[in-house]
Amino acid sequence: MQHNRRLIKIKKAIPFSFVLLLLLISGRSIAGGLFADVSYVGSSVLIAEQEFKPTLLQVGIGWQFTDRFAVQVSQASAESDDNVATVTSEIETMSSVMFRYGSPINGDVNVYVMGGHTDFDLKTTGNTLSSTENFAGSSWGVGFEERLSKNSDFRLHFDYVIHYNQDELKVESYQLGIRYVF
Amino acid sequence: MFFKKLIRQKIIRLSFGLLMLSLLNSCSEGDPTNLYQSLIVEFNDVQSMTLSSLNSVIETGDSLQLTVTGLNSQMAEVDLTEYVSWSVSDDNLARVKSGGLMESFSTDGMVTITASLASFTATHVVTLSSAALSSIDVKADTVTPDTLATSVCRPLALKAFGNYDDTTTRDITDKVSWSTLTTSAILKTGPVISLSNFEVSTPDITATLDLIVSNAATIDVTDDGVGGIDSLVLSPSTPTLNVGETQNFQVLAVYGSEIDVDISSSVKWMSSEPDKAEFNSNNQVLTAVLSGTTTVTAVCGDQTDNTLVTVEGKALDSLTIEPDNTGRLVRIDLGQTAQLSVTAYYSDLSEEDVTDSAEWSVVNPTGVFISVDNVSPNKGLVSADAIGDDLVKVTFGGQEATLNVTVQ
Repeated sequence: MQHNRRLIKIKKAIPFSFVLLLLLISGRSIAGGLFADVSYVGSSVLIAEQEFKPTLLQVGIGWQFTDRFAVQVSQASAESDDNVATVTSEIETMSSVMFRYGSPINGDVNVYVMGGHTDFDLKTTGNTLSSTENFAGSSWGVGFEERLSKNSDFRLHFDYVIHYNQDELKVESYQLGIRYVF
Repeated sequence: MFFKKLIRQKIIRLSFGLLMLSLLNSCSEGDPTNLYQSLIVEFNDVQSMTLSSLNSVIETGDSLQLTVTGLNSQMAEVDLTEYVSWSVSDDNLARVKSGGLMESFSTDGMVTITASLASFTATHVVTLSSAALSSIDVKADTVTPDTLATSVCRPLALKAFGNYDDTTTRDITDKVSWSTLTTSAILKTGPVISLSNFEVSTPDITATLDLIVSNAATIDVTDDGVGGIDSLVLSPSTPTLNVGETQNFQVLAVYGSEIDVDISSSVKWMSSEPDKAEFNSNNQVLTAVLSGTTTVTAVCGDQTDNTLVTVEGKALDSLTIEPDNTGRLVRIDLGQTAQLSVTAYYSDLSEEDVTDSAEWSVVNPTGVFISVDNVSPNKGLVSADAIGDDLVKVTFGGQEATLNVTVQ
């Protein structure tokens, strides 16, 4: 049992490690741009025919390989939980790695699609229920970013991401944030 | 340059640390189904759970609907059938589909079905038997199943029980076909029968399955006394219809202090002037035929209720301007003309060309793109005066219709 859990953790670490490796390598050999991101995340957790809307705060770091292609790793923590009847739900933490492929409209606006992997801990409590379970799965989304002003290093972005959609659980989010390009 | 590189390295190290931290935290591996079921239990306040079915013995190869019922803290029942997970003790004997339908295979035996919902489990043993049906009994679906009695027009639900060679008795209501020799009894869908109001009778009902016929069940039908109807309430009251329109009537039977029962489908419906409005095949839908009035009466035994129905001439339902084969748009070349026509559609499903009776105009009277003739015999003739577009409007019988005309 302990061995299995260790295996699962190693398996989950593979994609993240791969991305970090990519970042490290690309930082040395590819002339790209490093960026950091801070976002407010409004999420929707659909389960048992009910919708919970907990929120999170997210920080991220990424690398812009070309005008079109970028990768970002993010870590989010719970900002608020949500109640439906006697049940309270909260996404305690959420880690994700998302690859972005964009279509720059001009130098200031970029529209993109995303695909990657999300790992999150969902805490659910009620009268007879108290659990924190970890879920992980493929994620995808769409978004756009816009430079705040001419020649500014700051970009405002809005993303919609479906983080998890398996069996009776669907988790999606709307992310509004600021990216700083170094 | 050096400063930027330093920041880049620090951010990468920080993100690595955050990610590793998140991966090493000690959460259990998530199971969406288990979480879903736990929430169903929580939301429905489930305190206990039982698994049941109509029969505990079925024929091999037959299906059986299983039902899972939860009891909450208020002792109210909750249907949990669609939320549970199913398992069977022997996959060679049967399987259970989502929704609780058990399908048995062709082998005799006993199978234990288990329904699970989070921490709750319930089991039910089903015997699969290929024993032959020997006889059928008809009973009432009431608290006194052996008492086959009702009052006129009042529905009575029946059940059929099969007696098999293996000494088991099974509910076969859904499998039998029902019939009656008494013409005054009306057999309704399934085993629920409603007895005709035409006369008090003792209809004989039989149930048949696999050429086995039950004994004729004699139903005692009363027209008054306990269970009799106190009065009828017909609705709607004094409706007005246009020729061609239909009206669905309803009649409620008032049984003393009991809740009123809708017996619309089992009373006799009559129209005093069937040439003005008539019922179709004795059902409660009245069709208006000619202008005038008629009295509609619902009859059940010696109880009646009636209402006056007024039938007026056919009503104009809609207008359509033609030609209109381009999605409410007509294109005309500059300098050319196009003849439009308008058709009126009525409540009796008839239609009429009213081009010459209608009033034609252009919506924007100051427009210079089109003009339309409103004088017979050229009514509806549109002229394309300049490149642009406008709406042609036609008015008839209090209704309007418009059509977009583009000059190109």
